[in-house]
Amino acid sequence: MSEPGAGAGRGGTDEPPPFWSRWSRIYWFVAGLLVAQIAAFWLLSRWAS
Amino acid sequence: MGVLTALDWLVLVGTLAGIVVYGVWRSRGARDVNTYVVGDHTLRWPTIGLTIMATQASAITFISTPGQGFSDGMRFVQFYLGLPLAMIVISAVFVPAYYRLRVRTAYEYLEHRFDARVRIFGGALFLIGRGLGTGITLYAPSIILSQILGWPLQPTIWAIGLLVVLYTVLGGTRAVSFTQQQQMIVMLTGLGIAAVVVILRLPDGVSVGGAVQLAGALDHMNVVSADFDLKNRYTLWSGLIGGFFLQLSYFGTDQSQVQRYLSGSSIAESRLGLLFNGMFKIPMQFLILFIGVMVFVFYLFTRPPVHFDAPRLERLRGAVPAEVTALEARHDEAAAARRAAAFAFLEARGTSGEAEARAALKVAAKRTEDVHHEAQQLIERVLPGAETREADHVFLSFVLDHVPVGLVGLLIAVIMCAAMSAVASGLTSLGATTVVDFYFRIRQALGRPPPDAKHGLRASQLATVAWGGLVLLFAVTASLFDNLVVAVNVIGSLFYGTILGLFVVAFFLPRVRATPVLIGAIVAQALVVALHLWSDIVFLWFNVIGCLAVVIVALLVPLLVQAVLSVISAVQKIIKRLLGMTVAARAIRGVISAVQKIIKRL
Repeated sequence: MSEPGAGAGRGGTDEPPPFWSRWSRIYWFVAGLLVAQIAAFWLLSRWAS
Repeated sequence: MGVLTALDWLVLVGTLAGIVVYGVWRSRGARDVNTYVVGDHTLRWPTIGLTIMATQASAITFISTPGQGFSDGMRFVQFYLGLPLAMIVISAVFVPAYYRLRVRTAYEYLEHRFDARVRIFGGALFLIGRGLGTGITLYAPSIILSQILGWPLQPTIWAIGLLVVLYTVLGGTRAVSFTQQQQMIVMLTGLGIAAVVVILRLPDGVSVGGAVQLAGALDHMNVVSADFDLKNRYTLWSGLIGGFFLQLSYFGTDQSQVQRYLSGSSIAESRLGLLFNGMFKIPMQFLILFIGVMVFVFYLFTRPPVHFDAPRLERLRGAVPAEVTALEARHDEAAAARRAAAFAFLEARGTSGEAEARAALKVAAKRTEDVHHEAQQLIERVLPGAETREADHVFLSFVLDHVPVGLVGLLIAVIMCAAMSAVASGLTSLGATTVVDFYFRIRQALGRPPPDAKHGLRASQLATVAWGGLVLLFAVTASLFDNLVVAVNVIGSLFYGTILGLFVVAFFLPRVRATPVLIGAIVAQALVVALHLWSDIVFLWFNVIGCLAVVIVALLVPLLVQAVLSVISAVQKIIKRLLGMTVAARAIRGVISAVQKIIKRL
């Protein structure tokens, strides 16, 4: 093993997000945004061609 | 130097110098190797998000991507569709693991999970791929800027390279982060201005909606394609699946990115920085491509050159002036017909004549393309070996010919900022991996005491300077190896799948030990190289194949070992029955036991 790194920063690994209280909610938001972007791109492709 | 005005130079030099001075001033006083490699853990998520985006956005992003939009439409945006999903997985799985073990490099984690051999293997793959990649990141924009702006190539490479080495060595990762934050702000501002300028340059009466429909009529608004074709580089599926694996590997295991988010003040800040990238990367790439598409529409109404690589066109004109003049006359005629057809299509929208106007526009566009193709063939014939691809020149040609004075300097600054930010991240990560994963580890293996703070800092700075020298050396000699440039672009994708496979096994298969994963990585690497050499599969899929190969072989090796052990055990029993306890039997059983022990260690 290498020496203790002191690499990553402070705080525990289960630190909650500063808003929406749970990380899973933020992950679902990001995934939902991706779906919305794909849908918007599909609609744009159809409208423009 | 001809092309830029004094005001452009003032904006360009002022922007670049201001950012570098600010970065060095903010990051002064690196005390030890930890501060140098991962900063002092004060960065908030907006800075982390911007530095992650700045690291990925090289100058090629701002030179080639609009050119890609111009020539190929919007479909390249699908390349990034897997990115948000990769950001979620990295935030949920990779970041907590790195924080829990307080690692400074991604490969340090591999030793915690497996052993030093796997760490060295992963680190070595990274150093090869990133070292060559950083050289190209420096070389590629330099050659285009030198060709278009008339700057001498070698001094351009040296100027960008030395400036980056200077502030990287002085301030380490903090200087890189502070400069990248400012550089990204300049890039986003420049992008916004470029989008506004190209739209304002459209003729009166041509709205943004009309421009988009014109682009769509000429197959440039093909944003999403749901076709499943392994040989089609950009589809919804290659982006979501292949892109997911590529981005997971790049952001999760490439030290140039890991170093960015490990400098966060807490795990929450690191995660939010990554998710910030997951939300804004696709819109940013969409905007860059859209600018290219709008430049395409702009040139439907404004006479484009017969070939956008102006220096090459001038060489051609010098060699065969009569042929070029005749070609330009035909090109002007075809472009005028296309312009008339474009106006006619806009008029006909929503009427019964729309289909006919669309068909006429396509015919007119095809004529222009044919003349354009003739120009490329003429270049191939008259200037053998010359590069005929001109997409990289389109956006800069537009900027120089049609953007107001002052803003030209700003947009050149955008490209230089992107080059500098990507090279800086590359250099700090190469230096950090060399020192932490190789130099410190070898000292430890030799039984030497851990280096003190000053020694560690000096070693890191020296490693960064050494990599800076290697990268510069590669960049200044890259022009001698045209094919190498193409090869190096693929090299990164050759390694990413294998590196990702190591981490996937580490995170998700807790029972797999070091030797099987190492065997899996070696087999996967050989497989990916073989596929690259002897198959038509596009490079995005190598990330999936390499990763899966590591996982499958790492799972199969213990099963294989178990089977071999069972066979050995059976052989032992047979020998015992046949030979009893004779000397020969003892000797054979001794050899078998030794083999058994070796296999068990796997």
